Amino acid sequence: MTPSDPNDPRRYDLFVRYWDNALTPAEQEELNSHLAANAQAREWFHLFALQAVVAADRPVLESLPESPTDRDITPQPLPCVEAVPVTPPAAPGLSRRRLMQFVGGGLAAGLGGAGLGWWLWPEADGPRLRNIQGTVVVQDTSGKAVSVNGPIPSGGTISTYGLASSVLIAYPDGSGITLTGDSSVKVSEQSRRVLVHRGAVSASVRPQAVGTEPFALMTAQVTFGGLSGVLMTLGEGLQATELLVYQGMVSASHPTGEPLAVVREGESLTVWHDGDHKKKPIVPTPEEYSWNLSEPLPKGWPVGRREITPQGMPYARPEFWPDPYYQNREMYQIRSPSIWLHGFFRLMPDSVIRVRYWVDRPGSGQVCLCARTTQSRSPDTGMLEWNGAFGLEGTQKWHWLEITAEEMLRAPNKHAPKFEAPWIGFLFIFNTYTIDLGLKVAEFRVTRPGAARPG
Amino acid sequence: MDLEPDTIVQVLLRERLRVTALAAAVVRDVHAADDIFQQVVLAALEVAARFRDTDHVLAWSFRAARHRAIDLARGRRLQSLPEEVLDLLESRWVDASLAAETDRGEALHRCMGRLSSPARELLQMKYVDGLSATTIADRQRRTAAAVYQNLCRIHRVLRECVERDMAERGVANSREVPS
Repeated sequence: MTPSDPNDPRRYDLFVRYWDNALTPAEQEELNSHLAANAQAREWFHLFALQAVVAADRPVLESLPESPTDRDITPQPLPCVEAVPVTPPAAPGLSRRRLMQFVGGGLAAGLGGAGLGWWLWPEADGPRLRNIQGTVVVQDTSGKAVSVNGPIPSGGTISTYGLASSVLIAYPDGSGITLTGDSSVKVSEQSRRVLVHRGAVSASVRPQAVGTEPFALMTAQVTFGGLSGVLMTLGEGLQATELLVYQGMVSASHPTGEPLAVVREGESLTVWHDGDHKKKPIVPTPEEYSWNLSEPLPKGWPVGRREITPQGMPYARPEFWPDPYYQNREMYQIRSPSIWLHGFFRLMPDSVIRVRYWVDRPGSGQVCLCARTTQSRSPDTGMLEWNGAFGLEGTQKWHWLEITAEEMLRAPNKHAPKFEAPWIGFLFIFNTYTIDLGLKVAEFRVTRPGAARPG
Repeated sequence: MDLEPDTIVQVLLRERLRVTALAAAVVRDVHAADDIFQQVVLAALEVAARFRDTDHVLAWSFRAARHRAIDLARGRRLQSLPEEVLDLLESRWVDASLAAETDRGEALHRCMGRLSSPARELLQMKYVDGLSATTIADRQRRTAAAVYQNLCRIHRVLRECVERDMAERGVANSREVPS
């Protein structure tokens, strides 16, 4: 029988038993013929495979929030052809993802799971990578990529790519270093000295016994050595290294060894690339933000330029740049650096986003705010978007765009955060796609209700 | 044109679901398919100099994933699909637009979230825990036939939900480049 009715249950029966390696030779031949001859069958098979992958991607499954249009999907009775019981295939071996199923939710946060690594690979005397999410690349000293499942090569580099990527470097003593987002570190012999090239890392260092090799985190401008009994996060940005200490005490020194500061629990230290430094209590990311265009953009600003109008007013304008979301198609954009650790602003649903802009000609555009949770150690991210048109009210003059954070969650936004507010905005984007509208952005502000409105 | 390693990784990251699904369709083990995806990323970085453009990266990655999956399936002595069928499937996988696949993937996530708890638990046992229908049947004190029947229903319902979801949200993607 060659299935041809769209509702023919035979098709799915073959698919699910193919997956179990439970087809008889005649049934396998039937499936082969069906897929070879029927484009719709191939389409369904494609979707079937996607369903399996998505089902495995989901965590211990939770329902999406109810909405007025949501309907429970309860499968209706549909008679599949009676299957012939077969001997089950050999039990699959443990893979990395399945091993993570044995790790509790708390450990999946990335800190404290190192002890499990020691249990799983008792013969290892060095650190291993755990809790890999997204894309993680390990390279040896020659730059050659090596397996993420093996030992970390001495002098090697570990990099995470993409906002949703993260990995834990788990040490036998239970210490751990987590990389999140676009981050990269280089590790020494036994990986106890870690140089942070870019991005954000969190470190949980167990109390170290006297006589053990000191544990140290460092950037190009500051070294945090002799780490013991601390919980900290470290961000290496365009202009500075920023340290936040949540537990314990950290000594900071210049790479030459000259002491800089002692940072205690609840304090932060910023060390600028010119060597200046400042220590202060950890403060939450503010709810109010105003993009300071009165000064030149920081060195290394990713995309966009600052210019001055003939009247002396500074503004930012887009640059033509390959956007990876659009398969590196070049687009006119302004993109901020990713300030993962501290973020630019804290958003609530009633936060108001205001943009003062100018366009020479009207056209479609976007304002996008990349957001993370309030825990910088969590790799979860989402996007708040305004999708609209610049210049509908006229061109060749300044306008104000005003929108709330809640409005930026709505359709057609498909990437809204799946976590509750507050959302920490760590990157912002102005986009006019492939058309140069002559966009100028003179002001970009985030406020809460009751703040002064523009004149 | 030499592609930067970051570009290659970003392209493959965007296509992770498709590449992993192709591998999973051959090896019938999502976790192994996930490992194959990681291997493909590493291999792509090693041969980065040979890529002309991002389309080349994608085509190469599908083929690399397929070959690795076939090797693994043979090692596990799995019933395999013939080369001509794999060619047709790979062609379909590669030709699909990123926007359409992204829409479908997101629709699938939404539909998965609307499944009843028993349905989700069955999918978890099947594709997360990798249990055979016979093993699931033993645990649930049912027949393997009943488990297969239920899986059939769930997959059919998900397909219908995805089609309905995509139709309701429209074909146009708001992030598509305006003409």
